[in-house]
Amino acid sequence: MTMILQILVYGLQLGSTYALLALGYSMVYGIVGMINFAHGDLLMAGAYVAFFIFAAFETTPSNMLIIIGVILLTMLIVGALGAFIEKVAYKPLRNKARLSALITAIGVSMFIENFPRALPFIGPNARSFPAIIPVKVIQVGAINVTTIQLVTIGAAVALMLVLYLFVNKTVYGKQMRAVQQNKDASALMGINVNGIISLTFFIGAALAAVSGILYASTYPTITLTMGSTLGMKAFICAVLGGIGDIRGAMLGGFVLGIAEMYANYINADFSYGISFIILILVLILRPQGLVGKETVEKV
Amino acid sequence: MKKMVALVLSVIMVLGLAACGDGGSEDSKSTTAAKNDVEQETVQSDGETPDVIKIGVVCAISGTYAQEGEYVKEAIDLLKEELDAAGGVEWNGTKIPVEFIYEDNEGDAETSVNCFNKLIDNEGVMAIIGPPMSGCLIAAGPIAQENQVPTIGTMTTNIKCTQVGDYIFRACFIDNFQAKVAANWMMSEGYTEVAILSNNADDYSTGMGDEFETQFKALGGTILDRETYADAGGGDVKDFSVQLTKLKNAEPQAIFAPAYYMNVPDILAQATQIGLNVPILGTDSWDTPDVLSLIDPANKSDVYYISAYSALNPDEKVQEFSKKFNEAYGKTPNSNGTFAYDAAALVVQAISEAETLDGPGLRNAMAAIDYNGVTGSTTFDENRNPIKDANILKFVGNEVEFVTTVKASDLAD
Repeated sequence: MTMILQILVYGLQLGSTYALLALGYSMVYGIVGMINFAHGDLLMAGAYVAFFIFAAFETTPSNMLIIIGVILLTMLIVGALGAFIEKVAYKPLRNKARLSALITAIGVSMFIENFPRALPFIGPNARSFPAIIPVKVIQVGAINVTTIQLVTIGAAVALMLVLYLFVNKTVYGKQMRAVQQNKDASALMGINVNGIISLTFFIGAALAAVSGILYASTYPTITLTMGSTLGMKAFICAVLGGIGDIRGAMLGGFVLGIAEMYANYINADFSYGISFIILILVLILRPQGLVGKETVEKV
Repeated sequence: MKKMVALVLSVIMVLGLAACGDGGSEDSKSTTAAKNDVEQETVQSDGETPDVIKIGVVCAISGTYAQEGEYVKEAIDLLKEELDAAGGVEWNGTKIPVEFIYEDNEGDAETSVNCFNKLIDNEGVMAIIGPPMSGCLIAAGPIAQENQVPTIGTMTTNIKCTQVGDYIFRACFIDNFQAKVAANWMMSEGYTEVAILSNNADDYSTGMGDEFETQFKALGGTILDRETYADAGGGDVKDFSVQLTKLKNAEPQAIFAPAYYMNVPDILAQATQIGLNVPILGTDSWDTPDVLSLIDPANKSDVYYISAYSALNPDEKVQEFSKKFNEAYGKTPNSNGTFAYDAAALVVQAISEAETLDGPGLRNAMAAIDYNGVTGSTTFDENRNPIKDANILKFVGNEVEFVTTVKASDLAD
């Protein structure tokens, strides 16, 4: 029983990173109807940007305010990168066939993974992410919770709440929802559609950056390809929950994270494939996702 | 990486063999002819002492692996200087000069075959040192076997190398031998109840985990738990929290973790995070500077690994060799160079102990050798795999510290 609860904590932790990353897939799909396959690599970008900012300090800072400052700066940089990618690679193809945008996204993903190898100050070698969250084990009943787990789960839940409020309670959120429903009508209403799309990419990328930092705090070896498998898993989370729906992405992330950990407990060889099995099952039984609404594709 | 290379090379070799199946009969005729030549020579040398003893060295002098060959050549050159100073190797009361003949195999299996043919047919070498890579030795070994030329691979860890035949030896220990070292060291440290963490998707890891289990139980120890993960991609699996928690709950005194080095930083970080603070022992795959730089010092307490050779070993022979090498070339010798030196010195000692100066005589002398070299004392088991000393090293902050040497003679059978 203790073990079951203990694994639940691990699952929530892993699920938090998945969920933060899945949000980006879901938001982008909701607003422009494309799968941004380069999104997982923005997680890697987040981890690397934070790594280099922290490396600029002489010793890894222990002041919480500085650390939060660095994280915010990383979000800003990676967010801008996300919006920039949209402007350069996706916007010119927005009215072309969907397949073109999809292929472009794969191309962008490969570029982000491989270009830094050529840069002398990055190179192909793995790096060790600094321990920015001091490790402390807190005993809750019979289970152990570490500070890293608390911070990861806490930050993810807080960010999701903020995002939920932003989308549902602010004027920009309202505009996002409007663009999602109908771009042309939104434009006629005076909404800056391009601006809103950029904003969506920015938010998605910034969340991916936080996800990257949290992930790297738990699994400190960062590599340039760390985002590819994670991106795939997060995409599965987004589909699982119902792509285009923010609540779905959150739910999908936690479901997959927890399922993987329990699968790992039962049989480690099995855990790697569990996400794909879940995806197939969901696609067969509930193609619109766990919380998605059934929609009829208009011709 | 090395495994990958070995794998690719062995695939190439198999294809190569299949391709030249037709021309084989002609080839074998010429080699038998060559063999007769060699035998005639050795018959001659049986009666009278030869003027010079030729030993072939096969390594990569050009190409991608040229650096490997550089160390090999530099190390054997040192031995050559020593031998020249002593007037050669003493056999049957007379001193015979030794000549090393280098052949460049470019790190390639097919080229190695040519090198072996050339050394045996044209140069009539008495023994061959190298090649350093398993795939090359597996490809070229049959030629040496057929011509009865004793051959000793240097860094050839693949089990198949010495299965080629009874003329093929190796200087390095095989993977499974480390499991024996690990079991013995843990026992000597007083750990009787331990656990294992191994990779199901990797032969290196699984093989050593299995062997450790057998050896440790044979020594009277208990394996409390064995956890596995499945990482086929060399660092793909990042999460070990469930496995480590299970290991922690089993309350072992120590953990044996034959893991690929890219998994090590994540394993150690998570072990610290969940508060698993028992000694962890890794294997020679950890013996790379990458591991050192990728692990936060906070996660490196009580972490050990097995290493075939360490320049840190305070042993007189190691320090003397390091010093000599450093004086000659201005750098620290690596494993490649050191194993080549030991392999060559082992062959030279075998020559001085051989009853007859021919292939079978030298082979028997090598099989029975008790050689005490830089990488520790070496004897061979019935499969011509060395039983030799191994080092235990420990991470201390951003440095590696020498802990102890597990003596081959102390290993229980």
